[in-house]
Amino acid sequence: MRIKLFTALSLSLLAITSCEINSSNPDSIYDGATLVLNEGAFTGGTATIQVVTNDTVIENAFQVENGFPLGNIGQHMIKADSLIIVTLNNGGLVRGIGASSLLSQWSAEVSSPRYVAYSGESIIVSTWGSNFIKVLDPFTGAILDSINVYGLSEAVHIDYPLAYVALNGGFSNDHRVAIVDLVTKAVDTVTVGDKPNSFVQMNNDLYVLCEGFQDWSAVDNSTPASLWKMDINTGNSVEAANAGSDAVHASALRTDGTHLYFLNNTYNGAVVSMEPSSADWPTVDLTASVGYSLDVINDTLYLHNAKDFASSGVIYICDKQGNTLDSMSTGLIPRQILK
Amino acid sequence: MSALGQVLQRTMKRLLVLIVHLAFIGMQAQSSDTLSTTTISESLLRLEEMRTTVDSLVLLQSNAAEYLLKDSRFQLRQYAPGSVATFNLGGANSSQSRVLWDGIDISSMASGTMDLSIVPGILLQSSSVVDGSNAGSFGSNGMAGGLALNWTASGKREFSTLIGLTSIGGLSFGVLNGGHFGKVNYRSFLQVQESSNTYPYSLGNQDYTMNGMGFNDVTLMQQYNGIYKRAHWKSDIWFTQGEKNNSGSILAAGAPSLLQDKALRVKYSWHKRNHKISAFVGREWQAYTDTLNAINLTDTNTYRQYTLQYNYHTKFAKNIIEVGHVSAGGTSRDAALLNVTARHETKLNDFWNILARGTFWQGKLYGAGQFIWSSKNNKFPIQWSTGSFYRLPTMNELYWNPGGNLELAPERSYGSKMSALYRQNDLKISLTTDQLIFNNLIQWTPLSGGIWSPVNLERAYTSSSTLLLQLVKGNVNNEVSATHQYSRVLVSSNASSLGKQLIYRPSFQIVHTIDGQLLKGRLQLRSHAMGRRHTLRDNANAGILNPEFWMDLAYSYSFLSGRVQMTGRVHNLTNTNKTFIPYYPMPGRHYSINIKLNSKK
Repeated sequence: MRIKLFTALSLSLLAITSCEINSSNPDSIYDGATLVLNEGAFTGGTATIQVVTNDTVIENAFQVENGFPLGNIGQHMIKADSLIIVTLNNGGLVRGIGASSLLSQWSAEVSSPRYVAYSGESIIVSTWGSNFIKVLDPFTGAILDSINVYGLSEAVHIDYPLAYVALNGGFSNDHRVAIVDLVTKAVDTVTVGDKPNSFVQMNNDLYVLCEGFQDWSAVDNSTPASLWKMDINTGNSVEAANAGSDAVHASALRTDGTHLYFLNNTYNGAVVSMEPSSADWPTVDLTASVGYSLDVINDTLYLHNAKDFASSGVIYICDKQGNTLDSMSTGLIPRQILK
Repeated sequence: MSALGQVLQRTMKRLLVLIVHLAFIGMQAQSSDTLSTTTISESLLRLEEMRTTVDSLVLLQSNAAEYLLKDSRFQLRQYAPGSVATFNLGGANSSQSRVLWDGIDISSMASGTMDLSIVPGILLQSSSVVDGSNAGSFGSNGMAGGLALNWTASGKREFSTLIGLTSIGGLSFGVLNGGHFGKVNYRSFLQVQESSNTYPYSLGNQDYTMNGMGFNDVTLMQQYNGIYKRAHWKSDIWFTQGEKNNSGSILAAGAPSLLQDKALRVKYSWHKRNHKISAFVGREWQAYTDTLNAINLTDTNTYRQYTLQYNYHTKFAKNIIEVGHVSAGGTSRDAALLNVTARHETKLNDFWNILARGTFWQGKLYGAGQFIWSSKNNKFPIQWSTGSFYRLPTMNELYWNPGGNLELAPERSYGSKMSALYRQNDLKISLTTDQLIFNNLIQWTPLSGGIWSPVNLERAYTSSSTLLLQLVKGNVNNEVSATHQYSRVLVSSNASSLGKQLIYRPSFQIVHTIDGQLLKGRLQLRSHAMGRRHTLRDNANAGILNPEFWMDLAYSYSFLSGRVQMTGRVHNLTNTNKTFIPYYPMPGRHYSINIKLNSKK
């Protein structure tokens, strides 16, 4: 009997010790994992966050962890300290998600949210639902402020205390960037090309890619894509390059620190690159014309291919010359990758 | 094109030459002096549906989409009860399955489809569902099936008031009136219905209440018919007006959007001896408003159709010539086209019929046809057909701005169908199997610059088999309707779709109905089983709609010598999570009452 009691105590002690050892190493499978935001189907689909580690792929990790879907049309995803912030365009939601657990921490209702940026103190959300960008508390998702930027807003870039907000007109046309002082809430606007959609900052220059207006009912009203350069010290903007053709509508401006990269079309675009100092619109395709979105991370191009928008997509991983190094399968309509 | 395709195409060309020759002979034939009895293959080998007491009552207060769920061949896509409903039959897609009203193809040549939620059930006959490649024998643009709508003013005096209530916020009121004055028969039907569609649903581990999917609509139908100088004439008016809210999927923000629809259809037909002439005018107006706070997007579409159809039947031949003019206007298209279709069917002998169809559309001529073989075994008749049909590109596909593609080829089917029927005492069994290859399937695809455009992209194979079994034992009626489908994409621009199942086609559907006497009324239990459906073209797991099983229970009772008929129903008795489109849940268990008050016994 004593022997049995001793054995039981020993095993219990061993078990407790084992638990302590494990609990002292709380690394989550999501720490350091690659995250892919998939838009999901427009009609009745849900966006998904796909998690990729060295040996595991979790296709719909948010739903796996939370028991409910992320929401309709994933638009943009950023990391903000220990959170991942995702905007769900059709769902009218901004979600704050624990980066290590993928558990939903909060959600904020924002009509047609588009892009997010983190100022270090607050989350800035652009929207097509109104002329007001939203300022959210990163800890609770509470809407702290709404700032009138005098237009429907798209991409957001923060160079604290200033936030640069692309005003693209939503389904219409606009050609301005709003400069918002996040401290004083003062707003100014600067003219750029039609429908600005993405930013890249290199030193004191903020590059603004404008996709150009596509007027499907009157093609003659369409305008070409253009690249604008804005001096962040003076706020002055000049057109750096112009596509020249009304049929060219570029998107997803990115940089590796030395060159600018973007897609030469909003759907099925090819990756092109140019030197920031160049005034010539790039005409050499680095990749095939299959891109729906683009990311540039650590000198590697991630080209998102949505295929027919009704099948699983693929991300082509390319070097800076456009050579495909690898590829990864994704969910429906891959939009963004975070590493 | 495959060798098989080339052989079939050559065969079709030779067949067309033969048909033109035969058509000429047919037109020269003497007309008989009596109304013709069609003895050729339009009488498709099939069983008519078993219409129970409950069915007969709820048919008057249902739309076609709701009622036809009792038939396993019918595959529905609908967001919520009463919302826009499209269907397909026999493995085909919505635009390949046509809707005919008294022989006139009324599926919109603008969109290719027809919303069955605004088709009143009263237009459904017990043989309205026509499946298989043989459906080409009566349609003008179908490939693999359709719905044949009709109703008749018999002259019988009737006046009924119809009242319906549902526990999800539904209310309907209707009047059915018929009779005759002199030699003119009339029948009219007026129905108004609405529903807030408020019902609970679950999303993962959370519970919600459905809102924002309500609808209301009005339907008016009127028919007059009679005989004038040995000629039968018939005039019909069919008007519908509806408003349907759709706040998007349950994952969307719930911003209101509204579909408004008005349609007026008028038809007149004159039938004497072997000749029948029908004239049809249809006008439809639709507006879809999407609200995104600061932005209101409204898309307006109009559609007009004028059709003149001439039928000439003899004992051995049937000829139809149809001239139509269709126009589509509104926000995103503005075009008009002439549509001329000729069909000829000839009985070659006791076993063989041939059918040919040709259409002039968009300045081009398209041909189709099939051979039909029928056995003469009365106990166990078998019918086999093989041929090729087409589905013309719609006005939207041709002229949509932006993206319309004037170079589109029609979709084309090649295939065979076999049907067999067996009857013994109280048992009836029919078995039908379709094997079809669809070429040039039209698919909207994003091109450069964000413009989506339809292109002829895919080839697919579908196999669809249906078993219909009816057994009547004493007071108990049994019907089993079981359909199995297999489909594979054979050619696609998207490699990940190759070899995959076509989307929204359940692998199987089974509907079992049992109906029997209970006390002074009749009790009916209907069980539905629906197999897995894919909603993504590469059949990825994320797009799978899982198999579903649900049951509906109904009890029907008449009193006051039949002047009052009442049916109470428990829909989705099993409280199953039903979904036809992802993230648009249909209601769980809910209840309804239908009352019919008759002025006559």
